[in-house]
Amino acid sequence: MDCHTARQMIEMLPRAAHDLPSAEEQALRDHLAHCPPCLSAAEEVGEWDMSLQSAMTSVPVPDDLHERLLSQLARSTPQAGRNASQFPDRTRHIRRIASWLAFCLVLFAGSVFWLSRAPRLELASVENGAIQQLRNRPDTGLAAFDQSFAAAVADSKWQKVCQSSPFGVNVDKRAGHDLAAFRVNIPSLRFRGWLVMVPISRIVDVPPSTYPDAVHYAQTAAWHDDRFVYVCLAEQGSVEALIAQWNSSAA
Amino acid sequence: MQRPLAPGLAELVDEHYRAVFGYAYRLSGSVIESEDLTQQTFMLAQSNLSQLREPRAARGWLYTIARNEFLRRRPVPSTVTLDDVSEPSMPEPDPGWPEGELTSEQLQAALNELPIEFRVPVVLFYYENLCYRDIALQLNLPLGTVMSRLSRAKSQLRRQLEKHLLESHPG
Repeated sequence: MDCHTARQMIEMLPRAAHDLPSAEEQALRDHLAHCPPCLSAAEEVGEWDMSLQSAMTSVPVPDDLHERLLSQLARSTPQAGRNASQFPDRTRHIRRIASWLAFCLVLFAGSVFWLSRAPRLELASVENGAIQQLRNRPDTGLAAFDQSFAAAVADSKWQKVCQSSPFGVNVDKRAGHDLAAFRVNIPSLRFRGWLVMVPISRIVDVPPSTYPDAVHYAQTAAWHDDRFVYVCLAEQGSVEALIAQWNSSAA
Repeated sequence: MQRPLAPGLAELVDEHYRAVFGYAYRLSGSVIESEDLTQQTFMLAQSNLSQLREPRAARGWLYTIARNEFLRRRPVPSTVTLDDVSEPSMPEPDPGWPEGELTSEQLQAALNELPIEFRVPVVLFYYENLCYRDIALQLNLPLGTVMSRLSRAKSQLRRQLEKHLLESHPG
C-alpha cells in the first residue's frame, strides 16, 4: 500500500476499521507500522475524531424540558376504548375497504411508474459499480456494451487513449447496461484504467466540474459535459498524475 | 386533561430525554425544533411502546424515531449538490489541529453548513457512534455511498472547524 491510499483510509481508523475488508485493514496497519508520517497523520485523525465526538455529545439541555415532556405526554395518553367507539362498525368496515382500494391503486400506479423509467443513479454508485465490476477484470469476463445509449466519447484526447469497443456495466440491477466503459491505456504515463460514461440525465448528483479535477477515494475522477458524466478509474498509475498531465497539456 | 403514563414511559423519558434532545439538536441545529422533535419522538414512542421488546435497544430505537421524524419534516433533496462539499484532495501536508478547545456552538455552526444528506451520517457516526456498515443499514444506502458522504462531510467539517478555531485563537 502506498501513502496516498493509506491517507485515504486512515480516517476510518480505529473506529471503523472493521468496515474495511480484512486484507485492506491489515495492509493499512502494515503500512502504518513502517511509515512514521502516515502513522502521525493517523494519530492526528484519531485525536480529531475524539475531540469531535466529545463536542458532539455535549449539548446543554433546557432545564424544564423534562417536566414539559412528562406533562405533554400525560395530556396525550390515549384514552382506553376511545378509538373503538369512535366510529360505528359499518363506517369502519367501509373505511377499511376504501383504504385497501386506495392502497391497491397507489401500488398499481407506482408499479407502472417504476417500470416505465430507469431510476436515476448517485455518482457514488456509478463509481462503486465501476470499481467492483471493472477493476482488474479480464476482457473475457466482461460483457460488450448493449448500446442502450449512444456511447461516443466527444473529447479527442480521450478518443485517442480509449481502446476497442466499450464494455457494459449494470449498476441498478435492472435489465440493460447503465454504464459504457472503455479501456484506457497510456504507456507514457504508465497509466492503465477505464473511462466510464453514463448519460447525464441518469445522474442525480452531477459532478460540478467540466474537466477531470476531482479525485474520489484516490481511485476515480469525475466530470461532465453536455451529454455525459464521465468517471476515470485507475488500475495502474495515479489518477491525479493523469489529470495533472492532462491539464498541463490542455494549458 | 392529564392521564397516567403508559407503564415504563416515564422511565424511558427519565433515562433518554437528554440524549434524544442532543441528537435532535445536532440534526436540526435549532433548540426550538429540537424540543419539538424530542416531544414528538416520545409521543410516537408512547404509541408504539409495544414494539420495544429489548430495553437495551431503547436509545437506538428513540434515535431512529427522532431521525425519521426529522427527515419527514425536512426530506433529503432528490438532487444532491456537491458544490458546498468539495472532494478532499489527498494526500496533503497536514496543517495540524489548531490550539483551543472545540465548543458545542462551533461544532453546531459547522454542522449547519453541511447539507442534510451529509449532516445525517456525520451525526450517526459521531453522536450515535455507529460504524459505517450500521449507518448504511440505518439510512438504507450502499456502504460506498456512506463512505463517500462521510469522507466529504468530515473534510468539510474539518475545514469549517479549523476556520472557527483559528478565528477564535488567532496566531
